[in-house]
Amino acid sequence: MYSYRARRLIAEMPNRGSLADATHSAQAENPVCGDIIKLYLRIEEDVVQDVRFECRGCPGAMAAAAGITELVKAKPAAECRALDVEALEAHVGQLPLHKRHGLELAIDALRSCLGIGDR
Amino acid sequence: MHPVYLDNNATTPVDPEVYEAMTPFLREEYGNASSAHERGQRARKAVEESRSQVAELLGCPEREVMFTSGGTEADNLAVWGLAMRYRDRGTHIVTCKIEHPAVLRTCEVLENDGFQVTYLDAAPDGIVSPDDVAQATREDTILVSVMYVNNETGTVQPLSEIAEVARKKGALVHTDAVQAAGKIPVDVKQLGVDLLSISAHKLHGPKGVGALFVKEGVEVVPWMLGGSHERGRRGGTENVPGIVGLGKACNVATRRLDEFQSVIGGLRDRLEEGILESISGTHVNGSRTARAPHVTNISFDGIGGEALLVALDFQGVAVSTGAACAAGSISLSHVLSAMSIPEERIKGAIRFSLGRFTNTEDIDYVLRILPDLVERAREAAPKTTD
Repeated sequence: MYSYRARRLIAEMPNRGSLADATHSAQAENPVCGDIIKLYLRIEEDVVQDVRFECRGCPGAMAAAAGITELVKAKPAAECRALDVEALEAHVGQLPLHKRHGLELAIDALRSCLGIGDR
Repeated sequence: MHPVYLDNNATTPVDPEVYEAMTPFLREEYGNASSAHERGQRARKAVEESRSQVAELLGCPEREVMFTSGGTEADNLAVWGLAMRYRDRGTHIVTCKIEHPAVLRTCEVLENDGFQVTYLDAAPDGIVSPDDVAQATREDTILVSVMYVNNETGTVQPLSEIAEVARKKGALVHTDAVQAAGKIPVDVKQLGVDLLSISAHKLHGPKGVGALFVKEGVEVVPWMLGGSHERGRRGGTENVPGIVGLGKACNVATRRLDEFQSVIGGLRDRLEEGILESISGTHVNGSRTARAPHVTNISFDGIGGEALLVALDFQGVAVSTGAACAAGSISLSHVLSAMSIPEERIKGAIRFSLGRFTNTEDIDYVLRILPDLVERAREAAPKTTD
């Protein structure tokens, strides 16, 4: 089952598209299914001033990608660095078990964006 | 939000007439149709009346209709039961790659039991060629099983031609007509088939009941062993409420077949044309001429059908899709794959299937909300990847 919040994220896709004046961008890809999440951040004074995502993939990846943009927007970069799958799941709400890999992909994209290593 | 159900090929809502007919057999008329007393005989009478209603829809005598637990059991019994009965005549079966898993999995079981199975491709329009069937059918072919209406695309197979070429070579013919019954005319004599499967819940009847037409003289080895029910072909006490529901569903379908074809066919066309006109990069999968009136399968370029399904669901619209991602691996529709449709188009495929209770407001609501959902998904798609 998808939570109401996950379904809203998939239907409305807030913060979708690219960001021309991004200071940071990176993508993560699942080599098996081909899902891709690309994040664009504009970080100024160590705060995420703006954020966008692009995603090609299953609904779990879509919800996670849109959800992570809501989580990081206007947050200090230091707080963003501490985000993990559990925090993202708490924001997105329930995803079907077999769609949870989208959460990991979104966190990977964020960590890559911020120049930190693997989960 | 306007709830719209366009997943009628998955299952249909029970018709109120069907519900009314079933209710007494869930309450006071609880007799076992095999019992000799009056209550049992009333149940028997109801079962036989239902058999007559199914027979009327299929154009066959009542004795050629046997009840099952649904389309899957009917398919299993037709393919396996016939293979077991006639394996002394031959061990080759011809079917096609767009069949329902109820046929395909049964064929795989038979392959493990010494049978050879030829799985034919479909053309890009979803049609299985009678010439291909003729070429594949051999002296030792005992069965040709080709579905009548495909569940994913609605494509109608040239079944009478397929049956004719199969019969010429001495093979028996089965068809899975689960998505045909009640949607297009199904006349077993005109089609020339020996076995034909239907399911109640696909034509506004209850779940858990179906029927198999078995032509007089054709024998199947029972799949379910027990008493001598259904002329010794299926053990087990008859599901009287379900059978009554199936009978009534067939009765309503017979009466409303013309109306279904014109009204629902018109709504399907309104939906399909509306989508093709208002959203660029859309493609209908399967033949647009040889098809049943209640289905359209459309691919949306550049987006995942599965995400679009969830977005539509959020807006109250139920549909199904041609691909599913599970735990990081993609499972593509075996039907669209067999039609040689490119992978990206399969991933973006949505099946809209209409039912008797679909109306113009439903269609117009979908046409109103869909373009924005597709546009958002396309805006979110990566323009370039690293």
